[in-house]
Amino acid sequence: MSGTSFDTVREAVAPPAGGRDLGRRGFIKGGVALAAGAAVSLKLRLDAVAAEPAYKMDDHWWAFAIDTTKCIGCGSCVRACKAENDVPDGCFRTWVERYTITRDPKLHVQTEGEKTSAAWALGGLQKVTVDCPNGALDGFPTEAPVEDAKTIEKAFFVPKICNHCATSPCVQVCPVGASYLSPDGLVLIDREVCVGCGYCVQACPYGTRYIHPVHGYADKCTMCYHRISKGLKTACVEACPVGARAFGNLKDPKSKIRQLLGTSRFKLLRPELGTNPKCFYIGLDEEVR
Amino acid sequence: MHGSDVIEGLTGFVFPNEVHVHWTVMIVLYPYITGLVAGAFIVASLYHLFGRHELKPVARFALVASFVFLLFAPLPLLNHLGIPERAFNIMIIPNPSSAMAGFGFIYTLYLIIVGIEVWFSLREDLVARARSTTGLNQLIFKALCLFDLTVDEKTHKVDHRVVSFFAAVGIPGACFLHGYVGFLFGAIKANPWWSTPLMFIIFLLSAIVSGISVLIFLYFFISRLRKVEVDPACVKTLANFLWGFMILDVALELLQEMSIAYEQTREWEALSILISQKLHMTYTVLQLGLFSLVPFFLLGITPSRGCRAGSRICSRFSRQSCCWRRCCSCAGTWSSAAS
Repeated sequence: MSGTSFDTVREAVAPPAGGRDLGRRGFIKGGVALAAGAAVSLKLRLDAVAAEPAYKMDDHWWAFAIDTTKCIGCGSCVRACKAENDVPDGCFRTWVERYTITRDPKLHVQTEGEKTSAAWALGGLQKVTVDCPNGALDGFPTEAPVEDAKTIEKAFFVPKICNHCATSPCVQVCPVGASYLSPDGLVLIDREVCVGCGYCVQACPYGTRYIHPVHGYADKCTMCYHRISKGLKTACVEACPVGARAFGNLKDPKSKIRQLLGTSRFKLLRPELGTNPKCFYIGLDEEVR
Repeated sequence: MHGSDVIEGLTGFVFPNEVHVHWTVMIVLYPYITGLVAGAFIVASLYHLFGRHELKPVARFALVASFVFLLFAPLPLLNHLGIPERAFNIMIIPNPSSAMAGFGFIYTLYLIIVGIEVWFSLREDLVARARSTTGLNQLIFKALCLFDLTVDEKTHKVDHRVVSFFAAVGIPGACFLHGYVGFLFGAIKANPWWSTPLMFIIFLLSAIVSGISVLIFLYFFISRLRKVEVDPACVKTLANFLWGFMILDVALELLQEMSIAYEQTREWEALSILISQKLHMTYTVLQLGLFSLVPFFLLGITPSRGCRAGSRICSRFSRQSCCWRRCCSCAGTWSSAAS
């Protein structure tokens, strides 16, 4: 190859007149600086990833707590759940019940056309009326659910949600194993496997399951698994204006739920069925079932 | 339908997700049809195994009816499933802890037993048809005979022995098949109306009742179509069996309700409201009254009044059984919340 050829090439790669000649030294300096910058940037990103703790199922055993003395029946939780999880109309992953307890001996006589009556309490002197208009999606009407509001002894709200039972009857009866207890303590449904037979809906003593009216599979509360596994709160806990709902990791002694359960008296729903529910109710009245 | 609208129509409280009853007519039909299978099979076995020769006119018919009902039985279930195209998941990936998961296998086993018995029972007739027909029909009948048209003393004995063997195996099979359906309901602890060990026996007895009754009904129907006289002795024997099983069945149903009512537990508060109000017509008036008491008295006088009235009576029995399952299905769902 002749020298003329080299000159031609050099001219071809030379910067335009007036520009700075980078040169070999400059090129190496620039390259080193660029590599260092990229390394620092990569290190920062890796640090950021490392700072976000990886979710380990085995380190968790999720549970829910509801303080019934705080609930005001506003229905924010129901609306938040519906929006977050795209819950179909007429179906509920969570809902709120209103218990109205009246004290009036006349109420022993059941009047014709009486719409609500659930149970008698306190030695037969109290009557318990439960209502739950549209799952409390729109809260509750201000009118009392009984004819004579003066007879009301007490009234309170009870939010309901899947109990994520440790020995759940829905998991037991599912014929295809679509319902399962995850290693971190949540009862979940594999939508790709479920046949939609509805046996789990019948088996759940808490009425928390439904068959999706469009897709045909069984559906229920997942305790917002897609959120809590990323360190976020569940939609209903986030939305509750009075802090009546709490959730947390029972395996973590510093978790809020452990502290709450350690300092409160709580009850479970229908413990006699041996389902080992993991939804703990603080201040639960005897009449709640 | 809007949840709260329905709640207002009911007395007592129902969980919002349970206002809509998921297990409805299709779930009622399925155990009803398997009940017909079990009942008809037991009639067939009474002849083949226990030598009740007066049942000869309906024995093979009962066996075929049992087989046909068995083939049809899964259709309501398929119709009920939310995602029917995944139906075979129950047999491909069964959950060992589920009472329902075993059912696919029990059903299949029973189908094989009844299928074999039907084939051996009808083999000589198939051979006769294969010999008397020509062309495509002959080919079909030959195929049904597995291309072996031998009929002699030896094959006759073998056929009879095989039919007797499968009739013997089939009786516990029929009991297990339908008792297992009862177990599916009885094992649900969330529903006080269902959760009783008696459910197994009540299902079995009601299966026999509905099976025999529909068989009598079909016997009359087919006889009229074929323009042949019904055999009074046969119908009388069937009616007697029907009467006996029906008394046992209704007595057990009443005993179950009475024990719950007498115990006066919290469950009874919910169930009594259902029985007296929501299910008053279907349960008290129709099931216990019209479809139990009336046939009980009518059937009591049937042997002396001839068998013509039998068809009407038996169709009522059949409805009683279906009615019971309908009440059972709805009440179980609704009572779970209030208990």
